Amino acid sequence: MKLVRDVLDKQIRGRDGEKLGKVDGIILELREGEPPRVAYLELGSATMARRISRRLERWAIVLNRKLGVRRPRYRIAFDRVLAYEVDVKVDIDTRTSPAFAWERWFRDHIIRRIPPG
Amino acid sequence: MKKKDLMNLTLGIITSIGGFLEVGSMATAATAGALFGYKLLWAIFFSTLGLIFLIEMSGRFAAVSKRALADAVRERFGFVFTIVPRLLEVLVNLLVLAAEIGGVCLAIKLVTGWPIVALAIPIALLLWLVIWFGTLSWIENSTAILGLMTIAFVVAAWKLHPDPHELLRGFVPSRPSEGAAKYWFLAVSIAGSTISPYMFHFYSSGAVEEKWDEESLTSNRLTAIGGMGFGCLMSIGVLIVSARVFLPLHIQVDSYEQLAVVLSPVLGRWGFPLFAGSLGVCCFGAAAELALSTGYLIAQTFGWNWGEDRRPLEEARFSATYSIVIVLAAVIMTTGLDPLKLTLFSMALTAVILPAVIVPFLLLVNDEHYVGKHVSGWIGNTVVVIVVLVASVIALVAIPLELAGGS
Repeated sequence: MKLVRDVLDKQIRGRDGEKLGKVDGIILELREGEPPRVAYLELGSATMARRISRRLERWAIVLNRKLGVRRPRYRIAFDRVLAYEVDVKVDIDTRTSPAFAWERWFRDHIIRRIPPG
Repeated sequence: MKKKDLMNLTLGIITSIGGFLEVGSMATAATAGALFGYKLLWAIFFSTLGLIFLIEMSGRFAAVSKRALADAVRERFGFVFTIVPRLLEVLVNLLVLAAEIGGVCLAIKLVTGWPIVALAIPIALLLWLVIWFGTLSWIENSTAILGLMTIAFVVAAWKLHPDPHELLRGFVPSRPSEGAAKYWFLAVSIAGSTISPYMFHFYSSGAVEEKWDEESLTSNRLTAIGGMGFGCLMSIGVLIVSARVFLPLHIQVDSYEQLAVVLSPVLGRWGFPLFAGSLGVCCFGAAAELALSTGYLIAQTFGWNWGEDRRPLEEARFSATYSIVIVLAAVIMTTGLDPLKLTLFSMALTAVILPAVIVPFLLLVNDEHYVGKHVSGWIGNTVVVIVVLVASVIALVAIPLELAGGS
């Protein structure tokens, strides 16, 4: 498996099939005398922003904090990957996951307040 | 033909009606006909040829890889590469959506006399309600059926008995004797209005949502040729009618109000309502496609839930995105911008960004990792590369000349 080509930027789905986000970053664990190992998949606006510039990452963190989203990035342990097909399926309950915080924010602050929402 | 294939064909026809003959193609074809007679027919023909291949490719890609385009572009080329073309696309979509909302307002203004500035917000609200409550197939079918009234342009063109030799000459690119800057600007505007990237995103997202598979490839091909061919015919109809009605009277179309009478000399008292109806329905269909397409584009780039058939609460970010886009487009139209100028300019701008959108797409439909044995053939690849590169190079030259008021 080629990490950058086959894992980075792939769609992540929770075990309920809902879309959690994309693989915005990959965290490798460096081990003494052994090859590095994939420890986590990382997703979140701060991770995405970091790929463009550090300054943008700082802005993303500030924006998250101002809007009450506590975690601008979220890590999923690699051993929670259930299946690797068209999308990466992970053993996470999407609805309660911090990775779904922005979805919840939009749902509760905007969509639910629109009468037919 | 199976029910699923028929549904696929419907998706193609709505894409062609809602996406092909809309305010952009009507305005560009009519202006081209009024100023240069049949001389720009080649621009419609070659752009449609490119579009047929691109639509077929986007449907095939979605059916085989099970991915929508924006999803796959990010996955294959990465976030950093994706973000700039996406921003450009969203910006252009916003301008085109504003022009489409302007087109619907204009259709109503033609009948009622109410000002566009006052109509923009109510029309945007109606558009939002349709998307919010409607399903993909409902939007597709209703616009497809209503949009059939655009056949009026072909009927009118037929009744005007254009000289076939002159018509055929129009399909061969030629240089104009005067007004070169306007001529090339219109050529790229026609290309931009025909090869609109939002159409691929809408089409490929619809294919994923309707769960196309490899068995859908034949109907996909038929849809691309039939649906886009139908749209092309309507556009050619507009150009011919405009050339026959306006050119002999030396009427230079510089507002939509002038365009409104184009069918009247041929279809009598039916001409005016048919023009207003066609404009309203086509622009509304295109506006729905654009708003959804922009939502798809952003949701797929960031990996959010998306889909027209789900409840807004289940895809809050997607629903909020298309809602915000509709509001912004409506606000643009309330500033009193000239809708015809906005349309022609945003169409030409579309031609400029085409390579940034099409090149990654072409690489994907030729990548066996995604489409296996269904990679594109050399004919399709060559036609698309030539059409897109020529359109964007001409656009880069023609837009500054047009802005400088050159002729």
